[in-house]
Amino acid sequence: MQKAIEIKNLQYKYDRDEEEITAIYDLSLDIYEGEFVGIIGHNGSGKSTLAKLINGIIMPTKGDIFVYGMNTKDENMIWEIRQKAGIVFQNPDNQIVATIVEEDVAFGPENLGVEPSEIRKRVDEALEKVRMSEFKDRKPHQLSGGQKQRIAIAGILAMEPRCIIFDEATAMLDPSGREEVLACIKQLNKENNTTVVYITHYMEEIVEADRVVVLNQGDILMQGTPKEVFARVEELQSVFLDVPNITNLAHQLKKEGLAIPEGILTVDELVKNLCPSS
Amino acid sequence: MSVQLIDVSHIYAQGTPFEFAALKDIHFSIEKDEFIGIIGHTGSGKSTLIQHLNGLLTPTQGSVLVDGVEMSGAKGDKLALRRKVGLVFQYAEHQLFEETIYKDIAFGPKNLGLTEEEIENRVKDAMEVVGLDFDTYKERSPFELSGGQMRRVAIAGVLSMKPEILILDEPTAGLDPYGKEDILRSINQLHEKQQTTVVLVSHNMDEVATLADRVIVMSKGQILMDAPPAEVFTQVEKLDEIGLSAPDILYLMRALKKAGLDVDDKIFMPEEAKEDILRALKSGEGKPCLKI
Repeated sequence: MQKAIEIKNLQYKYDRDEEEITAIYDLSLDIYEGEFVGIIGHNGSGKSTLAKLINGIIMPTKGDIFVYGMNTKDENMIWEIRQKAGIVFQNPDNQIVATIVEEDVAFGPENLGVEPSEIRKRVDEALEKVRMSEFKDRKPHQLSGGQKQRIAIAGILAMEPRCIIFDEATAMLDPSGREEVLACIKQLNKENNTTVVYITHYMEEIVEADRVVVLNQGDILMQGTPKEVFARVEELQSVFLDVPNITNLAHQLKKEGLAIPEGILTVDELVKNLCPSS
Repeated sequence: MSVQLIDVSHIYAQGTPFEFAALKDIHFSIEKDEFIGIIGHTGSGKSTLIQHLNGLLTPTQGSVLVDGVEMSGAKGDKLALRRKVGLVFQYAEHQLFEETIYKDIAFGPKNLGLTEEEIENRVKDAMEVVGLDFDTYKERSPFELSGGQMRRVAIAGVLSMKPEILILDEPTAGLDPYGKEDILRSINQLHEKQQTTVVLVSHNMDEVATLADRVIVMSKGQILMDAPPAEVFTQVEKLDEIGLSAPDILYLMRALKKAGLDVDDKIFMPEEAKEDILRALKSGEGKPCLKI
């Protein structure tokens, strides 16, 4: 499998008040083409720093990051890196540049020099995918936070990246908005084979990921399938991560002596384990 | 103090092609000591609604009464209203601007013309409520704090005005579970110890379920439900219909009941669910479920 992102012995330090802070210690991680990788960690664990490093917004203190083989330190490649691996940030207000929704979505492909007719097609498709077509003539400031975030995602989609990094992109959405956006991200991953790096606080959002990476204090604390990771309830709670309610309840019931496995993620799973012959 | 909204409608950009009715005939009141949770889909009118409570927006139709006095017209004393009703916006940390945390929190009380001593007391009190140590943090720049800490400074800035009603618009959005819990604990303490009336706008059902004693569900600019949490969250179908989901635990209890386990399908708190499941499993005979 081709590597979409290759992170080798990455270290990142910065200064605050003449004090040196190490945000990332020595991190190595490969993300493969077509993979859906969930990255979780509490505030200050280094996950947003990692997103900025992958996108070449900040540079490693030590080590290297390759995006589709291109080193983020190579200034000549930086635009190609950002087109191949787009990033969607938490706050939509910082990402919207135009005064009309469809113009905002067109901003990326326009700068890539895409043909006007192709831009039209991409903008329409991108808006369709985030279910914002009916708002294409609106002004972004007339939209709610969740709607704006979907526009920001459409703006990235219109650049047709091969990998998208979502940095807490659903933090401001309501449950159904989150579900919609997440469904759209999963669809992109399955149907377009877009590589997804999904950074979040919400464990429920990554129960279907191919792989979950848990960051703590700039290091990888654990990684594996969601089942493997979420089975370690107490360890996760010790680094201030919330285990999904259902997983936690299953864990509590198991502690009471019930014969059920660890790492139960969904309602259906728990029901099947509690009432196996129903 | 009480705030009453009588048949309030709010239309944005009236008379233009972008005309949009954000609130339609809203009728409700907030009484002293209440803890109200407001939930609703993005764009359902929650933010528009709370801005009517402290006079930032005035109704296109209808009226807002505070302790029985009309506030919505040109005559309403909005300054006095804003002193009594503190509003913490979404991403409140974006509004920090001062050099030090002390100055930022002191900005409101200073504008009230209070004495230095009183100002300092208020800053101290506010910092204590949000869990920031006064001596450690007072001289630090708010901009070198973590996101969760910055949010707490911003909330302290509103608390230093000693509002009788505190309104918070998604105060935990974007914070990690630890930061979330911290802020919710502070808000709850404020409600319980200082009897501050709280209005909490949230997307998070579990948050509202555990804290509020009254839940208002908004949909398309209207109030769909206004009842205690237990009544609201058990109306799963109604919530699903407007794109909100009930707490996970409730879905589990319903599914277990359907599978033949005799549990109470109105439970939505994890602790209660655990006890009830264990109870039901223990008493079960010839059921398709585990026996203990």
